[in-house]
Amino acid sequence: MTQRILFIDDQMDLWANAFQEELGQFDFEVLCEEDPSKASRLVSSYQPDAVLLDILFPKGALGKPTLEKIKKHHPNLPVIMITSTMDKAEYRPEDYALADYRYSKEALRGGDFSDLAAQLNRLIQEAGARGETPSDDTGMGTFGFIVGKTEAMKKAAETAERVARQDHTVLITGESGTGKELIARFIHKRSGREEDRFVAVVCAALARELLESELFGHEKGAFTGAVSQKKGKFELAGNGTIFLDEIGDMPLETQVKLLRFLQERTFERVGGTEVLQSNARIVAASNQDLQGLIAKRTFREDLYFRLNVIAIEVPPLRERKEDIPAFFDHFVKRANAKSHKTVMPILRDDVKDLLLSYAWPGNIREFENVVDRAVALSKENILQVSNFPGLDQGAADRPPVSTDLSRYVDQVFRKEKTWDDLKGEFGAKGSLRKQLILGIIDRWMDLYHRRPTSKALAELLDISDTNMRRLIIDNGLQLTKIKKP
Amino acid sequence: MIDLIEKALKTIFPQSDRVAICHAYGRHERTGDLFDGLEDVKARRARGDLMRPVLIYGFDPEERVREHESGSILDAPGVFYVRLPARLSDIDAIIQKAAHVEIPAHQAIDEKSFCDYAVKQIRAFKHRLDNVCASMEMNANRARKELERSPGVMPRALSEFKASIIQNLLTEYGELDGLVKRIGIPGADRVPGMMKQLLIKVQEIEGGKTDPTESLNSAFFCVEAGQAMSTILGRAKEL
Repeated sequence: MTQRILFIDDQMDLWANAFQEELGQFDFEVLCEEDPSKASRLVSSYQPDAVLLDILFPKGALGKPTLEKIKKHHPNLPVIMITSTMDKAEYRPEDYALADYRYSKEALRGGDFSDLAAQLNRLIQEAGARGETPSDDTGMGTFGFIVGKTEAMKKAAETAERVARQDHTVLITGESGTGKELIARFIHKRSGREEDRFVAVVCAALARELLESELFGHEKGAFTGAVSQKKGKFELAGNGTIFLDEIGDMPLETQVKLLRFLQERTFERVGGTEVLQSNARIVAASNQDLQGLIAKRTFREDLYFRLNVIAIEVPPLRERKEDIPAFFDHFVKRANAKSHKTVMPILRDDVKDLLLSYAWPGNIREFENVVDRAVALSKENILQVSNFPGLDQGAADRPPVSTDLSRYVDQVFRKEKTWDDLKGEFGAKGSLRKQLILGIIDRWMDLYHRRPTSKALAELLDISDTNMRRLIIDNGLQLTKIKKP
Repeated sequence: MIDLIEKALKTIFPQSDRVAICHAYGRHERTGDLFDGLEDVKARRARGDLMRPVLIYGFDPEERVREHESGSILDAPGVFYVRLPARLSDIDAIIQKAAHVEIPAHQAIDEKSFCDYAVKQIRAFKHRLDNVCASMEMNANRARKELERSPGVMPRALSEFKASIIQNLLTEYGELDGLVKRIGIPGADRVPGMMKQLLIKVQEIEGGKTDPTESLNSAFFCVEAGQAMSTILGRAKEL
């Protein structure tokens, strides 16, 4: 599971990207800070699992007093002193007796971070074995998602853990934004297939031909634009896991091909005749009532039974509100790292009341977005009610609980609806419109792993660039990441 | 306390406008920051920023102040020390004496203090240069691995070669050049030219106009150029 590292060094222009990218490959999230005087506050707000601390700073050898400050309040937090060429001659071990380890940047000259990652893991594990790391009763450390106190969620997590090592197909159901993919990823990580790839495909986002090409690959010349042979996700996944999100939107023709795969483990590329095999495990997810779709004859019953070998139901956030404080704590820390802030994860009573009173139709994904924005725009150390504009609006403007925006998002991505169509259906409900745009941005990021440009969104929604930019500004949204100060 | 004493001394001795007054060393009560007046006087004299006589005051005996890392500045022309508490008449006498000292432009600092200061500055610069070299080598090796995995594709790690970083080093070195020349580091006259060459290479990499293999070669060239400069500047320690 992802571990948090606080890295304090005065020359982040040289090190930040490399540390974040390289340690990221070992499942570390790295928060970089140039000012050692902020160390104590960051340790409190970000709650890292370990600290990497430089020795020499422009104002002198501040590594030593910074180490002492950290250890005074967090004696069991592992701290690695990162030394550089100059420090070597001046490093007196007795000055840094409180440090857990010393690591030289010389060792990174070869561009290999595996040793540093191993040392970090070792120290974190040792601290954990002593039971001295910050306590985690959310389940985040074990599962990679917050299990919390709700019985339904505990049951979902236990089922995921129990079936992970089996090869059965799993069907995860739950509203959009409840974290179905995180559960799928957890199953993959614990499946014994983790050396192979986890491949996610959002079935709703693509037209039939494209979806089939995406899943099964295609041969050169199979259709217009197929200029070369392409491997599909089933081939790419190898012995890994394929996560088929929004399976309820899969076209019937494609369902037939998927059914054949589930029965025979074989498939053909689009336009091809060669019969290929794959041992990939299928984990599917849906935010729709699949049995209802079967009744409407838009989903095959035989496929449903094949997929529904193991069923995991994820409750919506409004049914697990007792977990909101844990989510708040977790997402404030994550948002601090993203926007380089030091907001304390303290939940004021009035903020708690506000968060508990809201229906969260976009579930955890919406919650995360709201906390992200609050942290990014906050000028205070502790979030206030005013940092959550929109949540305290009247019920009239609040989306009905049953509203499932993902349906509209699907239609946009399938080019079945333009912005003009949606405007008519959504009327004057400003907050609903905003959530729809957020949903579209989220879907885009799921599909392409980057934020959409305003131009790309304009094309998707079939409106002019100018109108798109106005829409973004009017709704207080931003498409680019917040830059570090 | 430090600020208060300085203010009081200046109020009592208004004629001290010709004489700079400075605390030897201590800790600011308000901020808790360490204050090193001796080092400050040394640096300003070395840079030619402080050509007035200086009265340094403190609560330690002069012998102990001289043991301080920058204590040799007390030997520089026009630098006086007074241990507090002292009679006002004694302080006045020192200020009167100091006010009439003329400091020759080329003798504002004693040779030992100048060398100490110059070497410290050069070492600090070399430290930054070494860090740049280490990060360039790390990124060149990351890029090499990327290129092995995806031949023909420009490695992402090369985007860490930024001309702005080298430009900053060049500017910083320009400010040090006088110190380097005065203490006479062997081979140091080549450093500015090498630095400019390094800048050109990094600009080429940043521009992305060469193919990935050539860019990678340039990256390793940059590493070697940086290390060669570091070796030259490292000779400052031997002086």
